[in-house]
Amino acid sequence: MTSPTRPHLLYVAWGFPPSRTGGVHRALATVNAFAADGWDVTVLTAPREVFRDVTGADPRLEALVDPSVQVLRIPFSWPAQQTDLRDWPLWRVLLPRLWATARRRADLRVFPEVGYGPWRRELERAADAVHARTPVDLVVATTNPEVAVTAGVHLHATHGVPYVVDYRDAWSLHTYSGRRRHAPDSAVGRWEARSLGGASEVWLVNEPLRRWHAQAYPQLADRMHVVMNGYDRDLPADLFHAPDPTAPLRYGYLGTMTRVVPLAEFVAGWRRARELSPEVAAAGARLHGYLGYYATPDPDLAAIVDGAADAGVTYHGPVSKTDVTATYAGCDVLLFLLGGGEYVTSGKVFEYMSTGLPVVSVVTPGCAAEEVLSGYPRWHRAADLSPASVASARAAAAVDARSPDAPARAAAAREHASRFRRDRQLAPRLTALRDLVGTTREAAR
Amino acid sequence: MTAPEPAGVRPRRVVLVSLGAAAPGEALLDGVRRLRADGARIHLVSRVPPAAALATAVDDVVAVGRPGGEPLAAGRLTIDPHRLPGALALVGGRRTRRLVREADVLVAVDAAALPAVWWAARVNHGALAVNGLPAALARLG
Repeated sequence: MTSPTRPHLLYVAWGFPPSRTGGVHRALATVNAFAADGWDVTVLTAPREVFRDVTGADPRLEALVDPSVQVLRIPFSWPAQQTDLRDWPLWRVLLPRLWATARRRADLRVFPEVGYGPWRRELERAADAVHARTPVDLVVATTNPEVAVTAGVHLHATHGVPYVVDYRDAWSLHTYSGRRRHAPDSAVGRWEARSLGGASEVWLVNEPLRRWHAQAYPQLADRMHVVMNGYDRDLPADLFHAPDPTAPLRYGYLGTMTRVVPLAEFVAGWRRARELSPEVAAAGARLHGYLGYYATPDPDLAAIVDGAADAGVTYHGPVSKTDVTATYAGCDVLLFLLGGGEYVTSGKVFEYMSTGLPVVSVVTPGCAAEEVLSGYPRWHRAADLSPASVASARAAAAVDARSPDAPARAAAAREHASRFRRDRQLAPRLTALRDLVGTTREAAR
Repeated sequence: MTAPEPAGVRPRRVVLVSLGAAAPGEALLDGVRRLRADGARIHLVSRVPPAAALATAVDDVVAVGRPGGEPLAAGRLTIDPHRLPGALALVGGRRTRRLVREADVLVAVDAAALPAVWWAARVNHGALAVNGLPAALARLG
């Protein structure tokens, strides 16, 4: 039930709990922050079955949504990712490429985004219904999929409702290569210009992305703000202990492993490091997370993991958000593996730093995450992706983990990380948007 | 070899089908262990011998088709010589026919196995037929 005195936020995110997709923690934290700030929040998202059957779900995430938030699950059809084979037509089984081409064309008819385009109509209908029931003061849409912006664009065009585009990723820019992937006069380019042009604010996850968009849309530069991902809550300081001196060190990775993650390079470096000392050779690496974007493991990534079993690298599957703390507590050193260049930070880097544990980074040189890690006192950087560099960083982290002053180092590391807590990232935007909504309401009187 | 079943409630039968060029391996282990812990019997039908750890984790491994043979490229068209022959071998093969008919869950663990499991689902109308072990786990709750 919404109140006439509290501002009403319509939040749009395709990936929302129980989804385990990238960005879901940002969506969860944003919604909870607005609710805690006294807003009535309505969320438009996809049905649970989509996440259960396709992307993988973390059912316990739903319990973390503020109970005052109203979540509306609106129909979303995703034939390309349908896992129930009884629903597949024969021609899809016999001619998978032809089926995929036809599907792609159908997807692009109403919005230029493969797989998600048809959701536009459902979003617009749902936004109209919500606004008719309880007038919406502000729409925040978190993108990727980009179709999420259409609800805000629609309510702005039809009812003058202000909206924010939370550009969690980029659309026209390929964040990994740094190249523009959609021309300004393409369908995507036109939609991007339209959606950003009407937005009251545009949020980006790091400064390089803000800079790129400000150059692409100079007239909108003053509306663009960096809202970094941050980490959700401080972990208990007594969770982490100095490693057991009688046991091998435990290295751990937690996160989705996609094809852009330098997994093969890490394994090569891991093997090289085993030659450096008995201490390093005895250590094990535990990999936690999905192999690929979807619930079905990516076969190439699975093969890399399988091939590294003899070197002490073991795969332990996905971890529920509610088990993350315990997973970190089972690690002495964290492995931060990330592909991508100057525009890629990830959300994981903040959570890693919040542990105060030594972090070995194996990332594409120039990756924006290194900027975030710089200053973290227990950062052990592989200078490049060569086996020698990875091995050397891994060995340095072992020395750090075993050092007599490890507890003091951990405390200093956690202190450094505290500036990246998610609520500290969102606070300035909440203040600004309250003012914006107040002004809009005043003007409407 | 399949171990004899104890008397009483019949355990849930899960048939995993792999017809791709890569050996099924560790990525399936976690899911297989979870299903076994729930009392399921796991049968792996595979064209390529599975990784040793997986072979140990399942109840039995049934070989189907032949290990070699790369996909054939004809212009923009790629023909995988194992997709349809593999489907025929799974549904019509002496050793696998009974497995398919008695399965409660049929799972394609790689893309090459999709036609085989699709067809198997037409033979066994009661079975859950899905693409990917995680999807099966999610649906079985």
